[in-house]
Formats: sequence, structure tokens, C-alpha cells
Amino acid sequence: MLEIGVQTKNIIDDKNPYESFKTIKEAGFTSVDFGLNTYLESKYVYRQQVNDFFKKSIKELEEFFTPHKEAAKANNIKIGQMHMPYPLFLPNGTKELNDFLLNDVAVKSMELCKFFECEYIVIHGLSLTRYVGSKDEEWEYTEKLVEFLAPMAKEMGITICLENLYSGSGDHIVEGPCCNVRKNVERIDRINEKHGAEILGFCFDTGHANLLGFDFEDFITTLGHRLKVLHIHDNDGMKDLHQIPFTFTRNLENKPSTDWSGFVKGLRNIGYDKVLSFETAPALTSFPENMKKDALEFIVKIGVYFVNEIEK
Amino acid sequence: MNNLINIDGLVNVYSPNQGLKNISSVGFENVFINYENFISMELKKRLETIEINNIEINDIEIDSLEIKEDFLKSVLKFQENLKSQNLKSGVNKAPSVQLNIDKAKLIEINSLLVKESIALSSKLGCKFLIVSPLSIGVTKEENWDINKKFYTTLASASKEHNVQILLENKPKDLHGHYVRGVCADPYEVVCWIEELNKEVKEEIFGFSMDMGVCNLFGQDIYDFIKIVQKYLKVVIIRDNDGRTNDSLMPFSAIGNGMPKTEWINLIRGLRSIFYDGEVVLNIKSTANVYSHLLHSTILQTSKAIIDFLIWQIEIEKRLSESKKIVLFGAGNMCKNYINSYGEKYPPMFTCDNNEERWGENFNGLEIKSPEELKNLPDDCVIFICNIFYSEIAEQLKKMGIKNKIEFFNDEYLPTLQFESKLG
Repeated sequence: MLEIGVQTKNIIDDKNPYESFKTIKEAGFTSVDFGLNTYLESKYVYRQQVNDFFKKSIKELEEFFTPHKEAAKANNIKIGQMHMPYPLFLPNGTKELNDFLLNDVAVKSMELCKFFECEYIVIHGLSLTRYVGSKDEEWEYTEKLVEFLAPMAKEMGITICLENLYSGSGDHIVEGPCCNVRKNVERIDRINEKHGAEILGFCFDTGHANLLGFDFEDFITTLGHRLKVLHIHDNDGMKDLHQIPFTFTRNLENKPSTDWSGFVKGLRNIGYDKVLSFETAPALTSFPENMKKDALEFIVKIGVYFVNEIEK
Repeated sequence: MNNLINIDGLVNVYSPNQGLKNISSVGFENVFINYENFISMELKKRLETIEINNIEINDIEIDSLEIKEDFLKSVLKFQENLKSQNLKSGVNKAPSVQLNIDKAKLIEINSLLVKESIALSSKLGCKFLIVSPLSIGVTKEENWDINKKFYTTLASASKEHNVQILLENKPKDLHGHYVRGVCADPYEVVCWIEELNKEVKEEIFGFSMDMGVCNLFGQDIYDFIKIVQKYLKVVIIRDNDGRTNDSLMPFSAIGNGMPKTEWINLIRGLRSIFYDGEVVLNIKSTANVYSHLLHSTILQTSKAIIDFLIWQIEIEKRLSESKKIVLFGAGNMCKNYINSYGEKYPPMFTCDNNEERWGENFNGLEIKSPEELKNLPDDCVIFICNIFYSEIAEQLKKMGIKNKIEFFNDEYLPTLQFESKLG
């Protein structure tokens, strides 16, 4: 059955997780995308300036997140999906940093996913095309990363989800890792078969797809059952703005410039029955603080609209 | 590899002499003609009226003969001018009437225009004609069926005149936002071409990749090229900002001091498949904003750019054709050569003017005195790995070296080195 979820960024207050989850519940969500990447932000990783958060032991991390887990449970909110910090490898990073990203950040993220009893964790494929020459060569590195995490995923019953990503050329958005849906399908099937378990799946990110002018229906339909989680958000086709769906138009016709109709058709084609998870944290900071609840409720209403359309 | 310049923006098709003269004076020998420019405004307006008023096509006075005569009259005159300027054409593009009208009539009108374009192209000795898929008013579900009908009507004319039909990738305007349209998916391209060729029992369909379209959706051009390589006959080279469907001079769309177009992926892709087809440069938008008085100047730059791109693409081809190789230079460019091509095309040694380095082992290569170049076998090619190309080439000529001299360049290497290891 379809559920409606939202990312925890800009909602969860670590000092009072109960109230935060209550807000989520009251808005009408039943699931969250718990973002571990808010505890180690990518902008600092790229600058090779990492904080100490993931240097804590797993026991300390579990203690830190116990109030969150209890608050979610008390409000009957499921941790439907998690987001691992990224990037997990810097081509010109120090050995110490890359070891930390892999052996501490990635491994502890998996442990936390298990701790939260969450089935899915989204990771970013490694963006290395410029260095290694092609997306196929780039994938070799991402596959090594997946293989590193695979035994843990199998043992913990977690599906690692790859996401369609973008990269930049000047200020122009270009394809990043995991944008070739046919290759994604082949790789997911091959790796899952090898491990005899569903350790790999996919997260379709509507905002990234829009930036790259994807055919939403074709991408989702081709993914089929491999699609496990969603990042639903909108943008103007130029910047990754993470806004509420149906926000953007590009001409005076004032019709949406994002292919929401293709999105619905694709999910309907594959009988998607999981969480419609909104990755719209920036929308919550663009509205005034005292409209945050209204914004969240509005996101839920859009979710309900999608549910009705998909289930038609 | 043949290079052509698209005349759009550069030549007034009804008064073409000055524009064609500008083109030939900078060294272009081949032009690309978009036959769409020869459909009169009057006819275009009448065709639009059919759509706007939802008129049954048979109820108005417009017939195939009229379209044909209108079109032929202006093209034939233009093609005479082309010959008088000693310009040739290897690739042209057929007009495409994209109207939301009855599909059978849409196919009939387009088929007629394309067949005439095939015959006209043949008169110029063209090998290829780009024919856009029908997309306006065609739903996703009916795309293949309608286009299959349309393309197969062209088979006999294509065979008769020996002109190959090329499909092309198209954008779709989603309320002001360009998204992937018909044949924008390289797998779809391969599937369509294979099905069409199977249907007509001959290899008459191929593909023309418009990199400007790929750029609108930030598509990975390297991947695109690798997937369609078997059918890739023409590459349309143009720049844009990734948002508007402009045709700018290459390297002119810039953001934050960086190119908005991934030229490195285009070069890497075409180089990796040893591309030897046609490249068409389209600078229509740039030409439109420049005064006609400056067209000769921008054409000179355009010619230099297309020659540079072809030279970059063919670097590996030149290496593969060199039986023996020595390098000149023992710095970063030499190191980059060894990292990228050292195993595949191993040089015998490198040399440097700095005598203190003679005898040194540099990344597995011995550095020798340039004097050693005098003893090279005749079939050995010297690749200069130093940005002071012309000075070194001059030095070698003065030394009386008769071996072929080539320049190496490391701006668009197939890979870049990085230090860290994963795991």
C-alpha cells in the first residue's frame, strides 16, 4: 500500500526528536527518510574537512539516536528509508580520509540502518568519469563500493539503493552516476543474483531526472520492481532546488515544466506500492517558520493526489 | 573525417553568392544545406492554417504538386550557385513539416518533400540526408508505428539515388523545458534503425547525432556515441547553454569560467571509436547576432575550431598509424602520454634539450639527446610532447631531420590520473 513520507532534514530537532516526529505525524506522514548526511555534510567532505560525528563508536551513535528511534515509534512513524553521507570516496583525498569514509562512515551508516530497523539505505555512486574516462569505468569503482557493503547488507536484510545523480560542467547540469537505466537494471540484477539476496535496488530522484530531461515514464517502467524508494521534489530544470512538486513553470502557458504525468504513469505501470517520499527540505526553509506545518500538510496533500492518480 | 559548415545564418538562400563566397574563402569545401529553408513563407503559413482551423486537408486547395513545384524552384536555383562557387555537399537535411494534422496526410506531405530532397541531394553527390522523425501531434504510444510507416515510404527513393537516410535525436518542449524527445535515447535509436533496415532489407538507415540536443539534457555524449557507433554517420557540432536550443560557435557557452558543454566527452567518445564520418559545424545563432561584415572573421575562427576538434579526435588514429614512435619532451605532457598511451603505443625513447637529463629514466623512458633523432629509421614518427610545438619543429627541421613530425596534446586525455585508491 502506498504511504507518504518526508525527509527528516530541516524537521528533526536532535534536542527534541519527540516533538519533531509529532509534527511529522500531525501533518499526515507515516514514514520518514532519515538523512544521516545531515550529520556529515557533503560540502565539508569535498573540502576534506570532516567532523567527528562518525568517529563515535557504534554504541555511542546508537545512544545518540535512541531518542529519535523511540520518538518515531511513539508517533507511529516508520523509518522507511535512510540516506548515507556522501561522497564515500574522493579521488584526490588523503588515504586517511578515504579510509574513514569507507570504514567508519559507510560501515556505521549500515549499522545505524539496522538499528533503526530500516529496510533501505540510499548511497551515491562515485563520480569519477572525468578521471577514468567513461561511465562504465566509473561504475567499476561504484561496484567495488557496493561489493564492500554487500555482505553487511545481506546479513542485515538491507537493500542499498543507488540514485540517479547529476554532475556539473560549468554551471550546466550533466549526467552523473547511475543515469543509464538499462545498465542500472543489468547491474542490480547481476549483483543480486551473485549474492542470492536483494542487496541492491534503486532510488528514483525526480528532481535530478528533471534537471536531465529524463523520460520519467520510461525510466521508472524500465526499473520495474528494482525501484524501492523515491526522492520526490521539483526544480526549474536548471538548479537542484528541492522544492514542492508543481511549483515550476517555464513559460506563460503556466503548465508544469516537470513531467509529473510521466512520473504517475511510470509508478502505475510497475504497480509501485511503497513510500512516496518527499525530499523537499529546502521548501521548509523558504516558507516562514510559522508556516512550516502548513507547508508540510500541503506536501501531504500532494502525496494524496499522487496516491489517487497512481491507484486509478 | 570530412568537415562541413551548415549554411544557416551565414547564407541568404535567395541571394547566396556573398555568403557562399565567405565560406569558401576560409577553406571550407563542403556545406550542409537544410532544405527546410526553401519552403516558402507563404506555403508554411498555409500549412499552419490547416492545423489552426482544423481543416480537412482535402477541402483546401493544396496538393502535392504545388508543394513540389514551390520547393523545387528555389532549391535548384540555389544549387546552381553552389556549384559556381566550387562548393560541394556530403550531407543535407530534409524539410520537416511538423503539424498536428491527420497522420496519413502528415506522412504524405513529409514523404513527398523528403523524396524530392533525396533527388536534389543526389544531384550534389550527397551520401546522406538527415530526416527528422515525426513528433508533433504524435503520442508516445504511436511514435514508432507512425515513424516506421513514414521512413519505409522513403526506401525506394533512397535506394534509387544512393542516398542514405539518417535519423536524428530530437528534444521535446515540455511547457518551455526541453526534455528527451524522439530518438534522444540511444538505445531507441539503435532499435529503430535495426528494425527499419530489417523492414526494407537493406542498410539504408543510419544516424546523425546532434550534440546540441544531447547538451540540452546534459546527456553523456561518450556513452551516447558508444551505443550508436555502428550507425553513426554524421555528428552535428554546435554549442549552447544547455537551456536554449541555440547553435553557438563551440567553446562559447561558458559558466563560472568553465565550458557548459562537455567537449572532453565528445572528443573522448569519437576518438575511442576511431570515428571517420562527417562532422557538421552549426553556428547559426552566433552568425545571426554578428554583423554580416564580421561573418568572414567568425568563419575563419570556425574553420580553425573544427580543424582543431578533428585534430584532437584523430590523435589516437595518428598514433595507431605510426609504426615506430619517439617523443620529444620530458615533462608533464610526456608523462601524460605514457600514462594514457604508453602501453598501447610504446615510444622507443624520448629526448630533451636539457643535456643534464640525458640518460635519465623518465617514467620508464630513456631521455636522449635530440642528436639521436638523426639516426631514426624512416618509418619512425616524432611526437612533440611540449607546448612549444613550432619552435621544436623548427629546431628539428634545422637539424635536417626528415622524419614525420606530429604534435601530441594532453588537454583532452582519455583518462586523468588520481592518487587515491578505493578500499
